[in-house]
Amino acid sequence: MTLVDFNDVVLPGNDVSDIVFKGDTCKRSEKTIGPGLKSANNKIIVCNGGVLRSKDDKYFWIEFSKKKYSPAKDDVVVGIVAAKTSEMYKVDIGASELATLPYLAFTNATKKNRPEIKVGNVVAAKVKVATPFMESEISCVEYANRIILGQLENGFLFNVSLNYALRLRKSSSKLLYHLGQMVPYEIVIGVNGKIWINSASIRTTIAIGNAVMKAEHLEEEDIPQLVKNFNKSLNV
Amino acid sequence: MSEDFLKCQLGFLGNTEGSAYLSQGKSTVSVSVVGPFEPKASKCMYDRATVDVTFRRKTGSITVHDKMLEGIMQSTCEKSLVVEQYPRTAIVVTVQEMQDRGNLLSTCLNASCMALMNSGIAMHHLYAAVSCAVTENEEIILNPDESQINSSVAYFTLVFTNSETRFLLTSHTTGEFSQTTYMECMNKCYAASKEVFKFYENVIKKSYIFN
Repeated sequence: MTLVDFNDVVLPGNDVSDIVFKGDTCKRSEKTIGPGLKSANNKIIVCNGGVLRSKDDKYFWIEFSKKKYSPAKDDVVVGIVAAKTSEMYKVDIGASELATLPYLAFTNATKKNRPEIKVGNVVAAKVKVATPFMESEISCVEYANRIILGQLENGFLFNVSLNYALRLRKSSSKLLYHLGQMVPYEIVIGVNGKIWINSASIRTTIAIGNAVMKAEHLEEEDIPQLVKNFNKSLNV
Repeated sequence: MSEDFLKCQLGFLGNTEGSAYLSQGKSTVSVSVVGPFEPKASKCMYDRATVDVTFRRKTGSITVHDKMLEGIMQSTCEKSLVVEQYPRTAIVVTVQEMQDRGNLLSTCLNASCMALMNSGIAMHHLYAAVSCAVTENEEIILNPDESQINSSVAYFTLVFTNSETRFLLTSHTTGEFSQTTYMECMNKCYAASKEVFKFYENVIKKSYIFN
């Protein structure tokens, strides 16, 4: 058995107990394992092929690519309303099944004052209940000083990979900032890989969408060049 | 096993969760993995995922023998996936034969393992299938070609996991053989499966080269 280290590629079935339990900066009971790892018979076993990462020698997880979103509590997602029932909307958030969105889960909604959302409309929402045994429940209720949720009108929706969506949401991502300096726009990035964009004209919206999609496989230092090309395409 | 015996390409199908194109010697298959998605109510299990393997021939419809291969692949895939993590869902694995020049079962199994790993579905372990043929004078040939299989007295396909202890996941045998021959084949195939796991590791390392 070869010894694995952090930032190494690991395969399902690999035993990483040694490296996870190593070090005495914190107690064994305080260590937390995340996605791609599971514990069985006092051992930490890898579940997904990817790169082993750790933070503060306390949190451990596997960085791997997947295409299907699995809901987690408090995730901000973008979804498409797929069906309406008497009490709730069914929203496609890209998970294995549709999520439910009750009519009352909107800001300022009451039994009398129902939200007016049709099938096919796009909403931004937060995941409230996420368990594999039940349909996940999402909500558009906004709290003070928090992000704005609810229906997303007009605009353009497209899909990117889950890893890229997470990368774009990080504050270290410069692309959105640079694009914003060229042209004002609104963007909502759901962790489920759905991105919604809106700007003053359809032309700029499509240009921004293309730029965001193109940047997926670019290095951080190549982004200024992409933004330059983007600016040129706007002025043609 | 020579260097270019196994060749693999991952993620070549855009609309599936995972896909793999694997050629082992002269046999080639492509595998797609779709899911986990919501199945029909009749196929839904409340505490685990249903795993469905479909096999497609290059031409024509599948035979009874192909149905049996499907069954072997289904049980192998199901054992290595963490089905408890995806209750009330279905995972569909479609295996498409591209070229069959012997060892089809082991090629299909290895390709399905790569496709499942590519899909990001949680797995307990990886698995590797190795075929071998036993000739009339008790000689064991690993990864035999078509004519060697036809002239052999027994033909095995053994599947091992990549856990530290030796686990035999699946064993499919045809023909007549003694117990000692079987044990000997198992030792040889186990050694060969290590090579296959090494190949898997290289493929995955290549796909994460930028991280």
